[in-house]
Amino acid sequence: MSIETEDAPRGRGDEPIDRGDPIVEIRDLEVSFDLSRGQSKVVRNVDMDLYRHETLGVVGESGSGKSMLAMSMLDAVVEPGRVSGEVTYYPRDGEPISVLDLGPDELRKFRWEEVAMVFQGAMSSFNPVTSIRTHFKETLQDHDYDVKAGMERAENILEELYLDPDRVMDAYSHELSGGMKQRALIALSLVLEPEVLVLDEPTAALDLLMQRSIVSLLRNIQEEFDLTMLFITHDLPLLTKLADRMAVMYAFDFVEVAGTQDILYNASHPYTRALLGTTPDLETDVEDIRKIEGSKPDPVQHISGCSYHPRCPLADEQCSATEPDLFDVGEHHRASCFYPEAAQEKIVIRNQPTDRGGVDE
Amino acid sequence: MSSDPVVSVDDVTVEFDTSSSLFDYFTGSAETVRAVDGVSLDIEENDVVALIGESGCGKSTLGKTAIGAQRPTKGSISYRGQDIWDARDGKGDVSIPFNEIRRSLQIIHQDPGSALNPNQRVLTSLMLPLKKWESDLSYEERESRIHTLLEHVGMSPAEDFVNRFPHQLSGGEQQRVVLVRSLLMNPDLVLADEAISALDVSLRVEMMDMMLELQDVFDTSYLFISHDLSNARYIAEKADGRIAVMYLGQIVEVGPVDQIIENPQHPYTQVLKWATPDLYADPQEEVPVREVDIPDPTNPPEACRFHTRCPEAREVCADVDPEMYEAETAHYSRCFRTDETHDYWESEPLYDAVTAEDQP
Repeated sequence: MSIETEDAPRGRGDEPIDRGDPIVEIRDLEVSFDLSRGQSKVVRNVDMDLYRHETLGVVGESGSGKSMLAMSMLDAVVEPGRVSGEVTYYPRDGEPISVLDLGPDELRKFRWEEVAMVFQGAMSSFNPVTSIRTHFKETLQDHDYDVKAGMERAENILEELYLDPDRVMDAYSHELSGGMKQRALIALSLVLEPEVLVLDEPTAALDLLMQRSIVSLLRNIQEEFDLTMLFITHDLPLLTKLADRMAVMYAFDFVEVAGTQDILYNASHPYTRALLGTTPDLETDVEDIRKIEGSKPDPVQHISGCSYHPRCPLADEQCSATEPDLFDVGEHHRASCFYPEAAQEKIVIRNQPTDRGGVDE
Repeated sequence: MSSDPVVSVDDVTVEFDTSSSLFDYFTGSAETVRAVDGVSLDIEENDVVALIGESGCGKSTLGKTAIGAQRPTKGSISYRGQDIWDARDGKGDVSIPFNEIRRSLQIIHQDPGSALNPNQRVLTSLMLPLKKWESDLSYEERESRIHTLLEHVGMSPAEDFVNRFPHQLSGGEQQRVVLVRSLLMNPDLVLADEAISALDVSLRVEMMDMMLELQDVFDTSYLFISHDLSNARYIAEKADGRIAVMYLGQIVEVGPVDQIIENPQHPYTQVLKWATPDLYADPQEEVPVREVDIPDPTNPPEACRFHTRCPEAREVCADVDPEMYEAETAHYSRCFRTDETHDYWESEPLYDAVTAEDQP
């Protein structure tokens, strides 16, 4: 089932990305925890490039290792987790920085001024007995920024996010709704003008309407502040409205990396296709929305061969014996599957628009 | 079987005082939140009603009121014709005892992890309700009933699961145990309050399918609360049910699934539809509400409650509270726009703000 991309509705991912200019490069990254029942590898030999000014979306189910990937970008994996591999950050000018080798002081500076992170629980990210204004002031002071100019910038960002700066600044976190808190947190993360914003499930606890609103606001903000964004979520449809490129994570590693349009129309990994087909929407016939068979993998028990083979309808002996690399399956499109053509042909995504026009038998 | 609905919610209002301290009490600064404001809703035998709305709109309060877990400030709730709170208080002629009503109306919460006692094995958690309500069953009979149900929801072999503690189960398995626990009582209505929101996307469809499958077995009705229109549509459409849309304590639109999805009448429903993820739809850039935040529920807007955010609001919307208008059979909307002859159409637009739709 090939689809002319020209006819397809255009979402994100139609602007060219400068692939010669990475801002963060991750090589051979591994995060592991020692548990009583064995070593738990929650990120396995991951390579990732984040290009300047793009939005890369990482999608995966809970427990797929996506949050740990984000944490290791800031060398923030908590004890007793162990991180190995390389995370290289390329500042606009100056020497590349090896993030995992930074000392505590350098790391503190790096974390807010170069790469900022917004976590899922905005509720717990603010100190409940300190006003929002104090959070902004202290952040600016701690990093030796001009507080007056910084506060002006903060107020502008708040307005940009449809918040009334006077009201929000004087409030304590419990006086704000979940959506307002999350937006105030995004504003706080931007106040030191970072180059990269890492967002880990920033909208998961919010209503759909607020989720969509925040995604639109993030797009405006990205353009305005020249940001590079890494957006991590389990919510595939939300991501397609925001990301230029997407990386699908399954069992602690990427199984498919491609431009958003390629993921939507030419997904080549059986897991990506299953994920696309299990997403309820308002158009697809309810009988055509399918669950994904099987259960998700355990980080302690390493699955031999392809990590998805126990759940994959196409799996054969090769899949259970050999682990597939991320093969090139198209231009800037990689998937770790031995049978990308068969996956496209046999795993039908019924909600794809081509099926909508025809008569359903 | 009587022809009365399983649960009938009649013109119910639920108020909460926000006074949290003595100080508020003395200064009289306590505010009243009207979480549910004059709602009527009937839930029939084998019915599925999906109740959707933003957080804080009162959908959980309405749900709890409907199963008799929350006493309404005004209005009445009846179970098969028997007023629930009259039964509770022993008022009048009680035809169905309160205990039986409570047993027939069950709930599944959002977070299965905290709905199960972390110190009890699955079997113990599931035994308790049976011991209380079906005390004439022997231990073996109880155990076999639990095993059968667990296998039915795909937790097989049941012997493996019954001796586990909740933390040894995945989120999906925990939620299944909670579902089994509610169904052990053979209830007439299960309130599923955001029961699938905490699950992974790939598990949601499976969980909803399971609920529907069990509906066939147990003849249960569901009141399915969600903030996600696509999930609401999935479960309600498969069960040929209805969708009710709630905004600031009121039901603003209710009707059969296909009519709500294909022909939403209320601008708020249209906004929710916009917010619903669709992989292959053209992304519409602009947020179609004038205010992204929901108004303060202690001080809701006068007249039509949505007029402060509504892209279609006209002057009349700020002056007059609309009634429920019938759009199609069994499809009602609390918006003047549903009435083609209403003065609304002559009224001046309330705001100059242009929405994306109006732009050239």
